[in-house]
Formats: sequence, structure tokens, C-alpha cells
Amino acid sequence: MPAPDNRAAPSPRITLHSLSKFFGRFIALDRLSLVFEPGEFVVVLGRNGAGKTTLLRTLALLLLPSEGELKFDSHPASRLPHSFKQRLGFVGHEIALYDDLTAEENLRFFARLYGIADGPRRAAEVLAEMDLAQRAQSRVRNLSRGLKQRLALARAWLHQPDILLLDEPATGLDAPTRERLHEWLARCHQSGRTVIASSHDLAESLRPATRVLLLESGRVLFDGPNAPNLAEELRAKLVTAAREGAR
Amino acid sequence: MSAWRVATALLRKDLRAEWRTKDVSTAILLFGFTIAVSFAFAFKPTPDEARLIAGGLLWLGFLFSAVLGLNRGFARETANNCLEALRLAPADPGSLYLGKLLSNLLLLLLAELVLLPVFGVFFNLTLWARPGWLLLILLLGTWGVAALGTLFSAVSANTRMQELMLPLLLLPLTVPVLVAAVDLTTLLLAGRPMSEGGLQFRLLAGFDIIFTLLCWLLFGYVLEE
Amino acid sequence: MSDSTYHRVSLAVFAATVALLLYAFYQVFFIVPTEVKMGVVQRIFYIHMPSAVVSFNLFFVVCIASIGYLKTRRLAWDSVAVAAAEVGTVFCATVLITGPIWAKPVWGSWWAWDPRLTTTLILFLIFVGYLMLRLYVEDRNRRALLSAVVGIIGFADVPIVYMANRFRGQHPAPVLGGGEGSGLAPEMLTTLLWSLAALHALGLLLFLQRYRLEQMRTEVNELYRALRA
Repeated sequence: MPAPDNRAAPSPRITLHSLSKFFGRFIALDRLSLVFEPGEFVVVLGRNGAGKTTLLRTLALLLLPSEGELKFDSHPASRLPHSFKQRLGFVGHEIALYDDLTAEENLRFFARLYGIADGPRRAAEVLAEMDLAQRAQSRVRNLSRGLKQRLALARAWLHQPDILLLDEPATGLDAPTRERLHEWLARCHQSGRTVIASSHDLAESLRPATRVLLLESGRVLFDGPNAPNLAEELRAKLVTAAREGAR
Repeated sequence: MSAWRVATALLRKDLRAEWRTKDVSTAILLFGFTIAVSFAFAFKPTPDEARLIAGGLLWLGFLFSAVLGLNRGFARETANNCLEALRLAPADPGSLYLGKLLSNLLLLLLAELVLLPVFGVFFNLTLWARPGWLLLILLLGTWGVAALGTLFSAVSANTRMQELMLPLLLLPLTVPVLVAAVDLTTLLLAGRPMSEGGLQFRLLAGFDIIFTLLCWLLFGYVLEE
Repeated sequence: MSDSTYHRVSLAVFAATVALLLYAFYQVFFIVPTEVKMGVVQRIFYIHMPSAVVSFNLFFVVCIASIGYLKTRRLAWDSVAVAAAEVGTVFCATVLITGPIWAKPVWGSWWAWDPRLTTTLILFLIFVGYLMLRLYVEDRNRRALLSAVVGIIGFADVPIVYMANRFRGQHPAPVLGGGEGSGLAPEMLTTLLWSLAALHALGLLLFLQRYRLEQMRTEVNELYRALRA
């Protein structure tokens, strides 16, 4: 179980105002205006290249917007001090872990980086939570893809961030592990944290979320609460968008 | 102070990884050794000639090996995109720079200490007559190379040419270090009083301080996306 | 700057450059007396020295533009930087080519480790490194950012390179620069000033063309994006 909630302030509210991100001529995000309230559980869907990764990386402050604004609780992201990143947790496409260090050494290093008091104890705690205790002394190089992914999630959770940003977190995980991931995310969400996760698999990922965002070509195609037959509706929308794009 | 905490965390992590893999050290040592041998074959100096040119050969060898070592050192961060994890952390990029600088400096110095006797053997040099001065020159010179090299290895990792960009950028810029360090080493080997090198020492120290400061300030920009 | 302003300025600079170049050419080959010791070849000094001054000034511009970009993130600054760097490299190369051409007949050797010439050589290498870096970074903003960092560091290095070479006393260096006006006859000074003006005008002309080209590229990208949206 995630540790009991001992945060001083609630999750920040995230506001995007006409936010665009360009890579040369390619428009990754196209004038997005969105609000993420504290404590939402949002799943971001879309095809490859729709902008999911770019959105998450922008929210994680890894990318600077080309145009428009990003705010956390009405503070512009560009003015935030580096210490604000204490409140963000991110898992991307690459695991960002050191191959030649063990799982435990990796977590201890990041614990030091995040200034976590009694880092070694916390690292052991998180390893146990993620069911990685037996492989704690294995070098990351020798871990399977699924275990690496779990370790990456462990690292994101190490400092108990207020906002969890996960880019296709279920990649490389087998079915039972995916189930456990969904449960774990649900628990994080229940403790009042904001969770924003992306996926390219419509049916599989919808269940735990409260809100669904569908992106296509950097724009929002659908933004609404999660509902039982949403998958079908979204698929239809995507097909229409594809046909219109081809014209 | 958290900047120091971040820098030392990076340093410890790098040393630990280096202890496991010895990536950087082997690169510097093997290449340095090869260069020393190549120089010995190419020049075959008499003992008197050796004392005149050894300073140059030594520092050229160090510089070229350092380029290799710096590239390898940074490659550790680009593998698995670990750099992203560093950028995510609530750490000021300046402290990340300091951490990498310290680990690069340490590894380069250690390798140079091993390479010195190698050069000493091939060129019949008496290196250890004034070890204090030798170590000071080594430290000041290597610091200058590491200060710029740490920043530029990050810059070159961003380009299509990758490792090739580092020497292209670094070698012209470290000419003052090369010039001053070679002159000082030549003075040392010739048995001359080190007070004659006052200007060079001041030049090296100034270079080190100025560029460590500049690179510390500018490192954040290099990490941006 | 708008198109019409640009064209007017460009035309004015072009006219001034042609006039100055012609007059300077006339000065160098018909007015100024032949130098006593070195002979006719000394006239190359009137290209050599002003080119060095222009290239240093342009490198200074690169540094300022780099700082400008880092502070404002406006790509116009980056266009200034690349334009100044490319033109500066050409002038720098001119210095390095005219130096040996002058040195060989006068002093008997192609190269001398004169601190000024040596610094120009390093400056040239830094310029080239800067341009090569730009060649190999795809993304426009990333390219601007990284070049700005290199530009600032490169510029900070140049005075230190000069100082480092000044202290290398071993070779008595033949003074290729002739001194900034020290010991120069008044007629030579006049010619030198005209050459300086002419080459600066040429530098400005080339800079403007290159700057405009870079700005147009940026505009094309923006148009592409506007079409897609």
C-alpha cells in the first residue's frame, strides 16, 4: 500500500492555456487549453504521434512550450523554482535507470537526489511495495523489461509526488502485473493525488480513470468523464478523424 | 546545502558505476598508453631532447585521452536516457554540472597519475624530483580540460555527430591550458625554478575559475529541450 | 525589419560598399607609397589587418547575439549570430591566407607564432567548430540554444588564448601587424583607415544578406505550421 497521505498541501491544479509545442515544422501540440483539477485520474488516449508523450513531458517540465502557457496553481511553469519538481513524478518511454547499478543502488541514488530523509529505508520500502525486494541486489542490466518498468515506477513513487505523470506505464508488463498496476494507480488516486496516464490501448486502460482525454494530431478530440461504452464512441471518433485527415 | 548534496550524490554514483565497469578509466589508460608508445616510435628523442618535448607530448596525450574519457563518461547518462531522470529531479542544473565535473576530474587525474610513469619510462624522464609542483600542474591543467569538457560532452551528445563533436569544440578552446601546462611541465623537467612560471600558473588558475563559473551558469541551457 | 526597409538598407549598404572598396583599392594600389623594407608585398597588410579587425568585431557580435538569444529566446538573435559567425569565418580565413603570403617573401618563413596570428588561428577553429555544431543539430531551437552557449564560451576564451600566447617568449616574433598605427607613416594610416571602412562595409553587406536568409527560413517554417493548423 502507498504510505498514508502526509502531504501539507493538496495537489496543484494544472492549467494549460493555448499551449503549443513545435519540433521544427511538426506541430506536436496544437493550442491546447485544458484544466486538470487536483485529484483527477485522467487517461490520455490517442494514436502514435497524437501528442500524448509530448503532453506528459511538457507537464513534467521536461519540455518548454513553444507557445502558450502552463500553470500550476496559477504559478507559471517558467517561474517555478527547481524545488517544485519534488511534487512531480514521471515515467517515460525509457526507464532512465543506470544499467550497472543494482535496483537498490539506483533508488538510493535518486533518494539522495530528491533529498529524502533516510533514503535507504525509503528505497527498501518502495522496493517491497513494488514486489522487487528479491531482485534488489540485481543490476538493472539483468532485469527483464517488466521488472525494469516496475523499478521505474518505484523511482517515480520514491518521493511521493502530488502529481503522477505516466507515459504508457503498462508497456512491457504482463496481464497480472498490469492488473496490479491499475490497482496501485487507483490507490494513489484515492490518496488525493492527481494521476495522468497515457495509453494507446483503448479498451484496456479505460477502467480505473475518472476522465478520458483523446488526442489526435496535437488536438483534443474528446474530453469527458469515463463511461461504460466509451471505447466504441472513441474508436468511431478516431476513424472519422482519420478519414477527414486523409482528405 | 542541497547543491552540494546533489553534486556529491552524482559523484558517488559515477564512482560506483566506474568501479563496476571501469569504462572511462580503461578508455583513458589504453588510449594514453597507445599514444605514449606511438610518440616514442615517432620521435625517439635523446634524453636532452626528451626534456624539451616531453611536456608537449605528455599534455597532448592527456588531452586526447581525456576526450575519450569524457565521451565515455557522458555516455553513461545518455544510455537509457538517465539524463531525463536527472532533469526531472528537483536539482539545479548547476549542481548537476558540478557533480559531473568532480567525477570527470577525479577519473582523469587518476588515469593521468598512472600514465605519468609510462611516459617517464619511454622518454627517460625524472618526473618525481618535485612531486608537489607536478601534482599542482596536473591538477590545474586537468581541471581546465574537465571544466570545459563536462559541458561540451553534454553539448556534443545532442548532435548527430555525437562523440566527434567533442574534440572539434574542445581542442581549440583548451589551447590556453595546453600552452600553459606544457610550458610549466617543461620548466619542471628542465629543473628550472618554478617561480619562472608565475604567469602561466596565474593563467591556468584564471582559466579554471572563469570557465568553471561560465559552464556552471550555462549548463542548464544545454540540458533543455 | 520589414521587406521594404530591408531592401532600402541593403541597397544603401551595397552602394557604400562598392564605393568604399573602389576607393580603398585606388588608395592601396595608386596612392600609398611602397614600404621601404618590405616592398610591394607589404600592400597586402591593407587586407590582412582590416580583415582581422572585422572578424574580431563579428565574433563580438556572435557573443552579444548569443546572450540576446538566451535572454529573450527570439530566433532573430540566433539569425544574427549565425550570420555574424559565417561572415566572420570568411574574414578570419582571409587573415590566415594573407598572413603567410606576406610573411614568406618578407621574413622567409610561411608561419610565425606571433600571438596575434596564433589567436586568429584559434579563433578560426572556434568559428568552424561553432558552424559545424550548427550543421549537426536538427531542431532550430536546440541549435540556437547550443550555439549560444558555445558562442559565449568561445568568445570568453579568445582573450585568454591571446594572453597565453603572449607569454610564450621563446620565438622572437616578427611583428606582422605593424603595430596599431605605431610607426606608420601618415599616408599609410589614411589608406589603412579607408581599407578598414571598406572591409567593414563589405562585412556588413554580407552579414545583412545572410541574416535575411536565416530570417526567411524561420518565416517559411512558421508558414508551414500555419498551413497545417
